[in-house]
Amino acid sequence: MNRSARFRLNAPRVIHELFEHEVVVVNLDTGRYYCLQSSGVDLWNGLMAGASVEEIVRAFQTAYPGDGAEIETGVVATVADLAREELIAEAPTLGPSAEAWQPRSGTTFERPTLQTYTDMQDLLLLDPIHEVDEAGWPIAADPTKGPADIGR
Amino acid sequence: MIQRYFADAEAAAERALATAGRVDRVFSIAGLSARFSFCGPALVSALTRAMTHLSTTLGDGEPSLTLTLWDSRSTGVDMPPPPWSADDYIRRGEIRDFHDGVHYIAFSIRGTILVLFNAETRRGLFWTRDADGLPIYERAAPCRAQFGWWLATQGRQPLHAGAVGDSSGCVLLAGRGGSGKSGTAIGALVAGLQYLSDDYCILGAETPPVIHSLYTTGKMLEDGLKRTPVLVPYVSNPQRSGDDKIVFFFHEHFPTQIARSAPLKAVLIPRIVPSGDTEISRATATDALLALAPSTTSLMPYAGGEVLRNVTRAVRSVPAFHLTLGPGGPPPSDVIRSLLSSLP
Repeated sequence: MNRSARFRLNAPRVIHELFEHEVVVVNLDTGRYYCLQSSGVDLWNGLMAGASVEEIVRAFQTAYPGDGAEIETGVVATVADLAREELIAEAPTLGPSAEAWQPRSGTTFERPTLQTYTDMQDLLLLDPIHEVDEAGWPIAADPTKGPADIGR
Repeated sequence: MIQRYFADAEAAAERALATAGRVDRVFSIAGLSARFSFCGPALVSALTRAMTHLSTTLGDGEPSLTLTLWDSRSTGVDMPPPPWSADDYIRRGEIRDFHDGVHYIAFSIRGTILVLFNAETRRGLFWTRDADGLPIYERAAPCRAQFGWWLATQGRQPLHAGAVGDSSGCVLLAGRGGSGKSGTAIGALVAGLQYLSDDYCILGAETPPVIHSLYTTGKMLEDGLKRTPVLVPYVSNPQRSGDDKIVFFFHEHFPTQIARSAPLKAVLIPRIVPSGDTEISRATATDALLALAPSTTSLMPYAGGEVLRNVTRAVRSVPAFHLTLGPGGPPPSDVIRSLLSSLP
């Protein structure tokens, strides 16, 4: 990964909500929900503030004692996860200033993890329609089954 | 092409009204008026029984929502044939390239139901081939997609959640199907609590948040009925087909326990476990969001980011709890009563 890369939210297909200790990110195209906690929230805020991967690594290394290489590995891996899930997209090099962003300091660096929730994705799965009647309206393969519906 | 199809469909609705005669019903939904103009009597009972508790009369002015509803069999008027192909039916009943942010259209294969809505005029159409072929879930939760599209224009958010409470307020019961929402809500009703919904209600535009009732139906599986024999006389569909659930129209049997709205006091996330006691434990706002938003979004054609934003508004305002539903301990209704009395 290019350590000088900056990223932006992959809007409008991706949206996010920030809570006190967590951030929830949703890919509206796939129906997948994601959750970041602890240092993951700081990392997310850094990315959204326009900090480069390198700047985020350095800031974490300053904020936390311990193994700097481990911090770098954790940050880079999480950014790669976020990019692979298409939650973030690479932004122009001259992005917004990241000066206002600082991670919370702590005694132990917890490697961020991207939790994935596929509930909505599962519910959106739908049998393809195979046949239509003479007027063009679909015919259910099993007439006792409908779409995903309340109470079904 | 979208506008052309809407115009053709509206012309068909006008023909059906002229042929079969107009039957109007008006409902007050989350503080807004909705007028159903039926083309003849065939669909009236099937599509209004679940909302009888919201019946009202229209005062001066236009309703916020106007729907025209007809079936082909009784009126002899068909919906114009679809200009899209079989490949264009996608998830949630949506039709590819037939939504432009103003015009909404969705199809339900069981019952052959097509629904349309114009968000600018707040007018919609409901068509089905045969009123007798309406599936029980449509009778239990009629016009759900159109309500969702309309309410979104009015700052309200439909929620896939149960809601029960007392005179102080209500709790939401959130989670995907099978989590225990309906059983908990119906059990609470039987135990004397106020009932707003077993799995579909409305988050109002108010601050702090208020939950509004939409349907007074309740649904359960055979096993649930065996555990709650007091409800046997109230089953509306003793003859069931396929995987249909048992459906109740509770306003007909528990009229004094139907609440039209209540302040939201907490979100409960039920989970059925095979052993241990029924109990609550604190959950995070994120837990509540993840229990409410995905299932709500999955049930609403074209729903997207606004669900997350609206649900976030609610879960930031009230505490959330896991409700573990075990075979031991107090009944869930007692747990809910106790929780409601402990919350400000």
